[in-house]
Amino acid sequence: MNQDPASLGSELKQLFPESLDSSLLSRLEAAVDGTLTELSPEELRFEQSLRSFLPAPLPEDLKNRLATVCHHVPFHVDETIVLFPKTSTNTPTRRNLPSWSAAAAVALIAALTALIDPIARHQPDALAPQAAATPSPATPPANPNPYLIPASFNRGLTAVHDEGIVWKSNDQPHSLVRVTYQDHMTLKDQTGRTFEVEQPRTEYILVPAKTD
Amino acid sequence: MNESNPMAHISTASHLSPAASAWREWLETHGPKLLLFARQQTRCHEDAKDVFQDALVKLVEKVNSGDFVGGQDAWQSYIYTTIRRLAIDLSRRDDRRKRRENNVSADAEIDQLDVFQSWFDNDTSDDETRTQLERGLKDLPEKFSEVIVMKVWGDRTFAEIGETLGISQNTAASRYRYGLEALKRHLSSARQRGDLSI
Repeated sequence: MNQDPASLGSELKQLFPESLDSSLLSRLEAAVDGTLTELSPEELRFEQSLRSFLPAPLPEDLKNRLATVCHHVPFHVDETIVLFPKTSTNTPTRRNLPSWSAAAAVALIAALTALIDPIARHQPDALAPQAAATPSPATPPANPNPYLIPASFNRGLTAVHDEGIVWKSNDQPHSLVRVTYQDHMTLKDQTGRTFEVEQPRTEYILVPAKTD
Repeated sequence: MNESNPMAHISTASHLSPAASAWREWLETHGPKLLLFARQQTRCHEDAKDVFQDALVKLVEKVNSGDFVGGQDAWQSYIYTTIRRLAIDLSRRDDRRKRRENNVSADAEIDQLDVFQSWFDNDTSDDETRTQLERGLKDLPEKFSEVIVMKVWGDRTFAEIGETLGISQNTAASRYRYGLEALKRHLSSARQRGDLSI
């Protein structure tokens, strides 16, 4: 080969890159067309014949190991339905009724009792009279106290919240719905004075749910 | 134990919680193809089982903590990606260990054990065809065989495969074509040699 750089350059210029082979050209064209991911009938046929070979099933020991891994994990059927493990069936109820909440409810009842009883039995003037309440269509709860008579009762719905899916012992899924009320009661004594009492209350309702 | 006593298995299954039953059913449906992919990605059956289990544990932790983005449809993609990543990590560790110990005899032992662990179901094909197909997949360059395993037996789209492997769907499709062609040649030559009766 000539060692002169100028003539070497001209010699190199006489060389041309190898032209693309037909298969690469077809591939590039298909990529440009967006058809590269479409399989030919022959490829589909071979693919189908391969599919007739099924992967080996999971060995029993592995299946048990994997099942153990997932044992305590909720299974998400879709965005709205979640299957919970049995161990956590009562979790929502427990979570929403902590011990301090129960204690607060007991304290509230005791306070109401302490408020109403002295008025009725010994100190009818202990509380200042309130504005007369309008009669309510709601049925007032029975009151054994002869001095204070329920004048109206209003069950005020304040919040409804879906707590998720729980499973009952018969393996039926149920939606757990938390309903919060603010009950309002008007009591009237023999002289016509009225007393207003408010009490918050929470109920949990199970509604049968569909899983699929 | 359950295989010898079917009633024991049924009894155990009936005591599972709905979530545990659903997981078991999901594993029975999707587990075989995920394990096949793990087999293709790892050196031996035991490694495949470990990698698959670790990938499932990672999925479960994410689902449990609420960090997993997407629904059940995305679980498989996540496991495919995780199996591949874990298999690469394991392979690197094994390479380092092999260089350190030069443990050739252990590899031979693993190969012997793996002879009894077929990639494919014994009931769906004859032994010779299954063996040739498995051999053909093992002989293929990994970048081809992984696409074939995911596409044929994992029912993944080229887009999903591309996402798992970090390549474009066109590249995935090209690798698939090359792989199919090579596999077909392998099976044809086995047939010509008389290793295959069909």
